[in-house]
Amino acid sequence: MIEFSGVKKRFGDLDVLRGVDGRVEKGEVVALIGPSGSGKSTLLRCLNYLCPFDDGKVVLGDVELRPGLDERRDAAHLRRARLRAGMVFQQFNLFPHLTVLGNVIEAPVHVKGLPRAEAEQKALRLLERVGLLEKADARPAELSGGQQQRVAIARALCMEPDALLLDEPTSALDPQLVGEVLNVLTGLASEGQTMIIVTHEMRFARQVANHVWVFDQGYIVERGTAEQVFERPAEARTKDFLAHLA
Amino acid sequence: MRRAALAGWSLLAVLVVVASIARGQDAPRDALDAARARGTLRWGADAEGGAPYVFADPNEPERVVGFEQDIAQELCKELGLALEFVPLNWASIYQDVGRGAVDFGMNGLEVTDESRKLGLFTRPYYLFSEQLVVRVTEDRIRRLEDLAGRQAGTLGGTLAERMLRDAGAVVRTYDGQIEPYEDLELSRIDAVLLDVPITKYYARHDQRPALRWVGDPIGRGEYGIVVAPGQERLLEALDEALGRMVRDGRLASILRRWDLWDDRQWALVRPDEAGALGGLFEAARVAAQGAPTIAAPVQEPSRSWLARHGPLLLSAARMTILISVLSMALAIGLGVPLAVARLYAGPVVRGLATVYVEVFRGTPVMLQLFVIYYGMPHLPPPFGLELPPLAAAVLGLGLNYAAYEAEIYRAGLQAVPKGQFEAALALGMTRWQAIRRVLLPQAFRMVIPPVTNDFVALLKDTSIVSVIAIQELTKRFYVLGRSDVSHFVHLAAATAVLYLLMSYPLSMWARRMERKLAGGER
Repeated sequence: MIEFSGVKKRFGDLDVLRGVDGRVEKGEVVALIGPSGSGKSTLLRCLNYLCPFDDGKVVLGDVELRPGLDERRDAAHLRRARLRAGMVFQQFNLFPHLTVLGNVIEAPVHVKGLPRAEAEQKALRLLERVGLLEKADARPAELSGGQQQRVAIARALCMEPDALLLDEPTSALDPQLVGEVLNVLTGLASEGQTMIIVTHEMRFARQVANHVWVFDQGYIVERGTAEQVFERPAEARTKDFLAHLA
Repeated sequence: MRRAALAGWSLLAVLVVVASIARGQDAPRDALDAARARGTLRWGADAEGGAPYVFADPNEPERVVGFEQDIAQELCKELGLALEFVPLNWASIYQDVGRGAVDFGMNGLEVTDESRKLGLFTRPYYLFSEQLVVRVTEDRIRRLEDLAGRQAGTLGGTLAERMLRDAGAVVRTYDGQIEPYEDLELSRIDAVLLDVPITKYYARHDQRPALRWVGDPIGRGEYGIVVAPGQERLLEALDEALGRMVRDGRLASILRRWDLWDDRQWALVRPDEAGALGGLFEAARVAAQGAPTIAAPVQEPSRSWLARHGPLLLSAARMTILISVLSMALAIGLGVPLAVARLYAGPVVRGLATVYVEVFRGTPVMLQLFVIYYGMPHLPPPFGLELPPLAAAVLGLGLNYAAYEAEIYRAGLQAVPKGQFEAALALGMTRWQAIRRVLLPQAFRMVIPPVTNDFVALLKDTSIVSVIAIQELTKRFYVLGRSDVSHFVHLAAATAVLYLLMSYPLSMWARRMERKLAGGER
């Protein structure tokens, strides 16, 4: 469903991704872990081309992304790719000038062309699912961080993407608010939602992820089931990383 | 003539030359035929010029009076046409005559070699000379020659200015005829040299006891009526009508009524007209009898200054608001696309937007107004538009402020967090959708305070449009203030209060929005 190979990305003198390959099947939950600056967030952003990569390719279903695509010239192509992979950001990035409901229906109505009533129905179902039905008319600024992130998840889901890309979805939250977001994600995983999550929540990764990929210095140095990676890490760098967390 | 205006003219001169080469010569419409078809003859003058030429009647400020008004009235009677007064800006009368906005100009216009290049002049209707005025305590200055090295004030671009320079004085030029005498009283200058009619109305000893006239009037110049180049038939008709007024004494009696008749005016009569001077002799006889020559052409006002001038100031304030609102609408309508182009367009469009912003920010708005109002009509079609003053004012201010609004909106767009744009793209929006639906609405809210502040600035900047013959609040204040000198300060205060009433609520609103935005955002 999502496949990438030889993806390289360089920021100035810094090689952030030195050629990574991978494959995610429908229904899988993949956790990307590793020290900060190891390239996991950058890979996530390459997958929907928010970060144009320098080499390699990304395939999302029937859409192939290559270096050199242009936001204006290749707008239609990029849109097809992005409809397949919804994104949830560390900083939520809700639109502050719209209500919660407005945030969720914005893209379905204006990108997909869904009738407003239909989009609203769908949005309300999703808000109910993330436990925020009563906040539909609130502004993002009136919500807690955890509530905002749940709205952001509903917003991404409302586009019915094949997969969700989640970039450290709980890192900006107060500790007591992390749980409510992880609960929502755990629920989605159990329903078979394909997800790729960059996370520092090892307990969550262990419980929810089918696969764990360990990043270090621009490479994926180890991959396996959660149990393999956390209980019997093969690579020294994985051991180092896990030891630092403890 | 104001310095900025002068800069405007030089630029304009270049434009006109270029445009006339590009366009070729086409025959101008005949102004006399057009006036006959209309039934009115349009006279252009600046009521700010003041008494006794043409000024707002202190009693009924909505109408103008003055010896030039009386002459214009008689001329129209002679030609069988109704008189229509068109208020202009003195500094640009020649250009307004030239572009056909009025049929003739008569406003203390001196006939000189230079002014003859700007239009066709009739025979003179008044022969002016200059009166030197000093403080009563002054004993060093007895003649013009005593001014060498001393500070002297007068109106810019006049015979008086040339005389002062020839005498070696340090010349300070003014735009109005009240200010030089004020400065003289305050000892900022040592003497004032101005045309006798001005001196008679603005430096009378009973009104300014601190000042005194020195010696007899000196120098000699002619006031003439000007029509556009090529309008020989109108010129001839006006000349003949004026000649009849000279010969039958009507001109003399008008001048006498305004206390302007003196022996020098005999030279208005041409040698070959000496045979038919019945009326003029009669006028001279009365003058020689020493009869009270000034028959109170303007009566003492009966109503209070506020009752007389208030409604006029209010209507001018409405014009100020109208111009401000329309200009701001244009400025925002144009500024937003400019800002978007500067940030997100391709290199060519972005370059054009940058050039626009730099040009309109980097040149004076007054110059831009001049070019739009006086320059554009000379351009080849489809740019050769003759815009009415209001449209030109709104266009000029709007185009200028668009450059500033563009910069504000650019800053606003840049202040929207980068994650907003990314979130929009990640949801499948195109760049343009993201800009329109996500970035702009947020930028709009953020820039409310600076845009409101700009609107307040625009409100006051509208006073500039008086250079293209619009009567907004500041211009109206000058016109009224010069007709009612004893209430000049009252009128200034009232005008200031009106500006404050317009701008203060806006400033308050901007401040409240600023606080709200600062506190309400996460």
